[in-house]
Amino acid sequence: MRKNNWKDYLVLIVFTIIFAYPLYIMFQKSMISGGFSNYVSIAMDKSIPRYLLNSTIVTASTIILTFLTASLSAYAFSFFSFKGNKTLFMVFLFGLMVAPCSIVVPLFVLVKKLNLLNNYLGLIGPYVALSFPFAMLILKNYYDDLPRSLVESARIDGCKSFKIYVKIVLPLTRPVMAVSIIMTALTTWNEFLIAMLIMMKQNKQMITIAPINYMGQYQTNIGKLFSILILIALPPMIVFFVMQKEFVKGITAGSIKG
Amino acid sequence: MNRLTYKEKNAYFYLIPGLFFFCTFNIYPLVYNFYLSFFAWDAVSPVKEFIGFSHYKDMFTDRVFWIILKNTAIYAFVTVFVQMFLGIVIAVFLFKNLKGTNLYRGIIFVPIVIAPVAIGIVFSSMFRSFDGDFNQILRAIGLAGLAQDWLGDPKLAIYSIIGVNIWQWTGFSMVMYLSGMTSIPLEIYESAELDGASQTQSFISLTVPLLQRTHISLILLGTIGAFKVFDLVFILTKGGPYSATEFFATYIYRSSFTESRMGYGATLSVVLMILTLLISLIQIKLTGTKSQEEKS
Repeated sequence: MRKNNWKDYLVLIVFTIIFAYPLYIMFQKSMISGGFSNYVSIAMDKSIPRYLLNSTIVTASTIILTFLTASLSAYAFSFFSFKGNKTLFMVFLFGLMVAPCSIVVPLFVLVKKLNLLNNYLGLIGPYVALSFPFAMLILKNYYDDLPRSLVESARIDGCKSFKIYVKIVLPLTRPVMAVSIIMTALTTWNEFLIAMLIMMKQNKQMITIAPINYMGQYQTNIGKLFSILILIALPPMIVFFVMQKEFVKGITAGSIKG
Repeated sequence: MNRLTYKEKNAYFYLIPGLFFFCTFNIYPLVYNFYLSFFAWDAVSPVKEFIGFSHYKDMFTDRVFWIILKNTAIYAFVTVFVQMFLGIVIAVFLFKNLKGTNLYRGIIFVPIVIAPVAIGIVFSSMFRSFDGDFNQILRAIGLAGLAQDWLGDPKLAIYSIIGVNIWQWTGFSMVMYLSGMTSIPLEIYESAELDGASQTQSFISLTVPLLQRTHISLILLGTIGAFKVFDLVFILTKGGPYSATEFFATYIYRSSFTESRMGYGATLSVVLMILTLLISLIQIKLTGTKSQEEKS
């Protein structure tokens, strides 16, 4: 039955080539007039390493803050019964549906009022708020499935709930932690609209803004421009190919369970 | 589900950090949108002028507002159905588990993880009418007559953007369908085969209807996606030519930050918010009844 499946291979390979073609173009154009030296000259550029540093600082801080706030809330929703827990949970879930563009006007006004324009915190705050609902949801779903016997004896021994969180629940979070971190990192690293509005000073800008600046500033050198694109695209692509399972889980999870 | 929970007076403390970020940067802006939509304000002057519902009235007579609604509908409809079609077809072939399946799946999925900004710039170079890759290819294979001004033609531009979105997001429907297919019991296919059904027949009469939940999720998620689109349009056309590719996000950006009409931007945001909320409610309703069916 498996013998005559060359047609199946043909279909799959044709699709794969079509989907790979723009990626190939991205790489090929990064080699125009200079080859790999384009990458070197970008690494030596006076602003590109700075953009990379900014994106790294903001992404790392957002990951940590989102994970901590989300796992604390998930812990409370999953393990405790308290007044208004259903309503609060629904309010958080509502956040899943908020499109960044629908809050961008007041967000800009707010960050400006707080004097946080061109400040890392002015981006980290909104990013944590945007990533929080999804991270909280997958963590809570995971905590719901943890056997209560793990916590039971500690409670009988009179352990404080915070100690239980740190000593028992948090270490058990590892499998789903990867998924939550990957999703937060992906949205933060790739975000463009809020980054463009909040960070106007050049030395505070994110890497996603770099190609726009580059196109405006110089007589555009295609090879260098596309090397910057590769620089933006490569980190998530590497993480994806290393952690495909967690990635796919994260991207499909919100839609199935939400 | 019967999940054991504990009484804990300190439960609220655990919610404070999350609530702080969520309320400050998510709930407050949503509420502030309503407030701002009643004022004329240029973001600089210290006074906001109260103008009541003027912005809402302006909006309904704004030619661009109707273009946005039309564009969002076209975008949602075309991207959703083309992605569903391509996704399910590719998923069926991947499901045969041929050699290299992981590689094919990986390559088709990977565009999703790349920043839309980067993708937009790659495609805008490919779309260039004089020396872009698409027209070069058409000329090379003797179809020079089909060469287009992909982004400059007001009728065509939106479909070029749609094409890029389909390229980026087909991997998502593919993966969703794959995970849906793994939950279909194989015996169903075996008995269909015994009854003499061909592969195509069992695909149409078994696979497609059995994946109904996935279809619904994809339709709703794709529709919500159409309300959010910004980066691609901003890079490829900036909403032009002549507002032909204006969408909610690009027009909110243009009104608020290019034309300094913060109140009008807020008004559009309120409408956008209400529309996404409506779709989400439909989603909850549909998926809610689905999970009840499962229980019974």
